[in-house]
Amino acid sequence: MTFRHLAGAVALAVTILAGAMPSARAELLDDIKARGQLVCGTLNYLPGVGFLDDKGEWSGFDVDFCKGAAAAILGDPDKVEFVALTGAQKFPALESGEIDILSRSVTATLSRDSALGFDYIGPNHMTGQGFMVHKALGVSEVGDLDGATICVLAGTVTERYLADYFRARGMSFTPVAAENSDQLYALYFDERCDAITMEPPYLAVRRLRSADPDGHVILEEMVAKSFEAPFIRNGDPKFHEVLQWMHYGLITAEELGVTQANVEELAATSEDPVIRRFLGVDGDLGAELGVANDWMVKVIKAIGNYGEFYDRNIGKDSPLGLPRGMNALWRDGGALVAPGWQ
Amino acid sequence: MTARRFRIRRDIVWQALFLAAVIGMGTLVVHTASENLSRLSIRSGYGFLWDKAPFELGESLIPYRAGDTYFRAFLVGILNTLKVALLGIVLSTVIGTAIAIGQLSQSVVVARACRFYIETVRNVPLLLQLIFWHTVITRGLPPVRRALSPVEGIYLSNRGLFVPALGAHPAYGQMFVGLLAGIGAAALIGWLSIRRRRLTGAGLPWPGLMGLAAIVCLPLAVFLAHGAPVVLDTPALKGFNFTGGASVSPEFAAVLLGLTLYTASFNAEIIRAGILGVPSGQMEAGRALGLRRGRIMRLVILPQAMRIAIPPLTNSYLNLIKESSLSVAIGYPEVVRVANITLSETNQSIECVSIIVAVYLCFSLVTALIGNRVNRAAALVER
Repeated sequence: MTFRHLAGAVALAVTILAGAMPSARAELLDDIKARGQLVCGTLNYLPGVGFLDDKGEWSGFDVDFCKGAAAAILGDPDKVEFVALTGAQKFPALESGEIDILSRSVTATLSRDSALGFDYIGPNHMTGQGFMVHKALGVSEVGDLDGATICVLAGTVTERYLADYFRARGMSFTPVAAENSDQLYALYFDERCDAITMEPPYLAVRRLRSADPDGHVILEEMVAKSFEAPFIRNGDPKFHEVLQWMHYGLITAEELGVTQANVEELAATSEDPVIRRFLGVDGDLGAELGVANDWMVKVIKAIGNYGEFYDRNIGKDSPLGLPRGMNALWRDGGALVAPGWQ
Repeated sequence: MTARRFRIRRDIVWQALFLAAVIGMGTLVVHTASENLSRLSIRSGYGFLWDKAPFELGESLIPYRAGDTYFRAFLVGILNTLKVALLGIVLSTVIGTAIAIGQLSQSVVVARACRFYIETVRNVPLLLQLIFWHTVITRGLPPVRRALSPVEGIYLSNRGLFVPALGAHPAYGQMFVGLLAGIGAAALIGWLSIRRRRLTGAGLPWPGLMGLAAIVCLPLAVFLAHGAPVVLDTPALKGFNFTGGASVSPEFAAVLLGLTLYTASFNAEIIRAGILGVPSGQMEAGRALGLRRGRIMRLVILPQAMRIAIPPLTNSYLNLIKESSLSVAIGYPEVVRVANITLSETNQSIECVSIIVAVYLCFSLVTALIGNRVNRAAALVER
């Protein structure tokens, strides 16, 4: 084959290719409705947060958010496919479109919103990054940890906050990283590390379940705030609006006293114009968002209002028994706010 | 149109279609990726490598701390991969050879024990073995405050093994130079001996011993000339951890142990095949010359067995290098761990994965190249 022949082949190849380019894509909200299913990235090993039990049932705070989203968009909380993701997998999975929502206790940060090309909802769980230390070491504040070996969950923002905090104070530490938190806590409890860093709620659970709950202290000081939120890709404004207002709806429901138990009765009988508008009996606020008018009835029927949603999974009605703290309504001294439902 | 011209035209069309398919796929991938990235307003390219990496890595062969560049962090990861891969290759070959010879031993107990080792180790997934060794080390060894100390200055705990290291003294640098000179002298003695044997039929007396003497005596002479200074950097428990001295982390130990033992079981089979591939006449010829069993093995059988074993051994080394990536599961800071943490920090997933690909590709190609060279040098020269 001579050069001339090769050139001919190239020319022909270019001609064949011309005009065969991909086209634009539709809004994700419409895709999900057409598909009839929502795909949700979460975790499968943390009871109360995201957990897959031995019967194949998913449960937890992060899981329930997706069930609520499915109820909001598709009218049925069971129309969700859950995908368990590791810390390192979570962003590529969202970026590639493998999942629609990443509800995996991901901390909301500026760069994740801007440079990484994501949008977040909420934040729907506000906490911070703290430390648990073996009591025998006599450590009472984070500043005492200079030179310590610290267990940290690989691929999470806690790695950065930990390094930032120590670097800013001229302190040093040795990290021990593990890919999943079961492994990580085992390393801590075997004293491979002096301390472990994580959000205090999760530390409290593990301490409770450990062999010697009194042998560990959770330091009061937090090195960073960690406001956790479900994430979606940039560029789906309608999808974002629905999820954001679902989050506001959970808060509004708690404000209005709408609960999982009374929501259907209220929708049928309430004369209160605020509740009637909220539950879609009057007006067409839901339709304007691109979902059914009674969408909040479905959501609250599925996962309850914010208080129920929180208490059932990680709050006072759960084995974790966490106080509401920052995650209480604004009128109760917490940081949960929602704009008016008009 | 002649049949020949028709054939050429037809060939061109086929080539064109194939080329179109390849270019089409390529363009589609690049186009889709860049379109999606720009839609998500993600910057692409490798510029992020010069940004500050906000994480610590635990162990490193070069100085590194949070705040250095991502490039340096990757370098740390690559060196850590290289460290475990090189040590793994050497150790798995030594252990593999021992097991192979043991399997062919006349003692039934030794042969069966070696067989048992191979069948157990090579049939359990490597990932499981890594996690097993890591768990054994972190769970089986005592915590740092109750560290085992068989000899003063040596401490073994689930934070690793801490041993004294040579401290800073000007003599040590010169001793290193002496060591290099000794190695050079030994090589010269070997070369002279071979040359003399070629010319006269008899080499220098005791060339091995003379070489060894050169390697030992030169640094020793420097050491004594400086008045035999011993400056040791002894590890001591300071605050939370042992500081000073040299250390081996549990993660590294687990990875090295897992990779070495796993690969050794495959190498043993390869080398056994090599040994059995040497015609039995060679063994008999050696015996006829009055050589002992050990010498026959060392001088006659093994050199020829290695000739057979080199190509599959190269394959086995390639596997070891690639499988070292599994050590991310136990937190050893090799290149995949660095890429993972960089990825979650910068979200440059395509770039990070491409770096991993490039690193393993380079390591593998270099290993294959060396393997091929050695193979060519060892191959029988047909005349």
